[in-house]
Amino acid sequence: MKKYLTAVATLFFVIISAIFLSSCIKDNITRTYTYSYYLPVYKTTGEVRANIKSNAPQEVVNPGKIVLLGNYIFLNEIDKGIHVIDNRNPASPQNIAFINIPGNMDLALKGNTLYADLYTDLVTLDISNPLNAIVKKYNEGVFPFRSYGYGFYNDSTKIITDWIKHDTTITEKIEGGNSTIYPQVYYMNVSAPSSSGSANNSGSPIGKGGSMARFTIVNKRLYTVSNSDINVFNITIPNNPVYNNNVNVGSWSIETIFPFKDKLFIGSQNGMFIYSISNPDNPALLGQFEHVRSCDPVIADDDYAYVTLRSGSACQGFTNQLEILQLNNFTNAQLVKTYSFSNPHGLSKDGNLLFICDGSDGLKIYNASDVSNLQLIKQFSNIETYDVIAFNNIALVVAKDGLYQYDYSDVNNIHLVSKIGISNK
Amino acid sequence: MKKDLIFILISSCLISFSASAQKNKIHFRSINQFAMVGGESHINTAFQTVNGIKFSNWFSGIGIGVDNYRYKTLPLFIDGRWYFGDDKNGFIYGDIGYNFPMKDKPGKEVYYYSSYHFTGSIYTDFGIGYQVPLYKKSSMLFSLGYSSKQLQTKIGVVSECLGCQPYLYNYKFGLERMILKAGLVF
Repeated sequence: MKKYLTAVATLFFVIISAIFLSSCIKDNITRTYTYSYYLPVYKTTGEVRANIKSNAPQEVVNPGKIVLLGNYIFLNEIDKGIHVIDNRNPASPQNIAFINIPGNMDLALKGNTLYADLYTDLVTLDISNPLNAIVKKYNEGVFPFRSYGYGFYNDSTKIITDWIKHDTTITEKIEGGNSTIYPQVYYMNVSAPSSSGSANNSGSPIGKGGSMARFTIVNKRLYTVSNSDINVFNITIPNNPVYNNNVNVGSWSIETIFPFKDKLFIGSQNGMFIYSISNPDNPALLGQFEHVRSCDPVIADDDYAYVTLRSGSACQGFTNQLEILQLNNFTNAQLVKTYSFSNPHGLSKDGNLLFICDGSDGLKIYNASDVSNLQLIKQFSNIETYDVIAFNNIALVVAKDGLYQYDYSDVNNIHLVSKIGISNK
Repeated sequence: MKKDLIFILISSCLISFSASAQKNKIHFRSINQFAMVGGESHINTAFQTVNGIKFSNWFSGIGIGVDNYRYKTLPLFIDGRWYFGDDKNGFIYGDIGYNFPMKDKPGKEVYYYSSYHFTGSIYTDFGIGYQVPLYKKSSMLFSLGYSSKQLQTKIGVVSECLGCQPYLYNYKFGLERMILKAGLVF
C-alpha cells in the first residue's frame, strides 16, 4: 500500500512541477533571410523626356507586357521602357530599338500611335517609323495610383530612372514562436508586371495585347484600369488623348482589362466584371461573377469567359485553376466547369485553341471546342510562362527566360519557331 | 546529420563498454512511455520506447519515439539512467540523439509559401523520475524532464515579379519543453 501512495504522491508532484515549469520556458526560434533592396537613381524630368525616343536596342532583362501590331512586337521592359522587335520573320525576330520610358508597365497601340505609362503620366508617341519614335503628348498625373511607394515620393522635377541593387542578410529572433510572416517584395519596384487585349474595332489597326493587360483600346477610346477604376481617354485625335472619365468598379483589386466587341471584361482579385461600352465614354456594369481571392486574368468570346485563378505572394489565396463561365447575354455569368492547373497566368484563344501559361508547368494548348471537356493538344514544359498572345497562327509567349514564338498553323505539329533570350544581368 | 549519428553511435558503444566492465549481472529492459510535452507554443503528446540493458545502478539503451510538439518529429536517441535510493527506485536520466522531421509543411508562421524543406537536428531530454515495482521485473515509472528538440526549415516564396528570384527564409527552431512521462518497464 505504501508504495502505491508513494507513486501517487510522486505523480502529483511531477504534474504540478511540469505545469509550473512549462510556463517559464521559451522557444528559441530564429529566421534568416536574404533580400535585395533597391535605391533609386534620379534624373530630371527634362533629361528623362529628352531620352524618350527610339534608342539603340537593349537586351531583354525583365519582360512585362506585350503588344503585337502588324509586323512589330512591342515588349515592355518593366519600369524601363519598351523594346521594339521587328517580327516580319517570326523565325528570326530582330530587336531593333528601345524606347526609354522610366516607370513603364503598360502600353497600347493603335495605328501609328503608342500609348504608355510613365509612372503617373501617360505618354503618347508617334511610331510611324519605329526607329524614330517621337513624343507627341504627356498627360500628367492621370495615374495617381502609380506612386513609388516605400517612402519614395514623386518630385515634380525628378524621375526615378533606375534602381541600384543591394543585398542584405538578416537574422532575427522570433518572439512568441507564433509570429506570422507575410512574404514581401523587398524592393522599391512600383508594381507587379501585368499587360492589353483587342476587340472589334474600326479605323486604324489596334495592337493585340495579352490577357494581363491594363491598357486597351476600343475604337476611339483608350481604357486603362487602376486598382479600383476604369479610366477613359478619348483618342479621336490619336496624338492628343484627352482624359474623359473615371468609373469606379467597386473593387479594390483590379488587375486586367480585356475588350470583346462592345464589352470590357475586368479581372479583379475577387471577381470578374463585365462592362458595356455602347456609350464609350461611360462604361456601364452589365454583370459580374465573384470568385475566391486570387489573381485572375480573363479573356472572352461570344459565349464564354475564361478566367485563370492563381495563388502567389501578391495574389494570396491557394487557388490555381481555370474557370469557364457561360456569359448568358453578359448579365448573368455562370460557372460551367473548373479545371485544375499549377499556377496559371495569362491565356489567349484563337478559334477553338485555348493557350494557357501555367507558370513553371509551361505552355499548355487545348482544344476548347467543348468547354466541358478541354482536350490537351500540346504542352511545352521546361519554360516558366507568363503571358501569351495567339494570333495569326503564331503564339507569342512571354516567359521567365525569354520571348518565345510557336507556330500553330498545324495543330498536330505545334512547334517553336524562335526565342529571344533574356539577359542575366 | 552524419556527424550527429556517428557521435550517437560512438557514445552508445562507450556506454555499453563501460557496462560490461562492471561485470555485473546484466538484464534486458524495455521502457515504454507516454508523455505530455508542454512549452511556450502549446501542449502535445509524445511516445517513446527505450530498449537496453540494466546493470547494477545503471541502465543504457537506444530509444525511438514520436514527438508531436509543434512539428511532428521522430527522435532517435541513446538513453542513460542512474538509479538511486535505498530501493533503487529513484532515477535520473539523460537522452541525446537526432530528431528526424516528420512534418512536411510549414505551419502558420508563414502565410504563403511555394516550397519548403525540413531538416532535423539535436534532440535532448534530461530529468528525474521514480519507478514503482509492480510484478516481478515490471514497474510503473513517472518522470519529469527538460527536453529540447531542434529542427530547421527552408521556405521558398516565389515572387510575382517575373524574372525575380524566389525569397528564401531559413527557420531554426529550438523548441524547449517540459516533458512529463508515465510508462511501464518490462
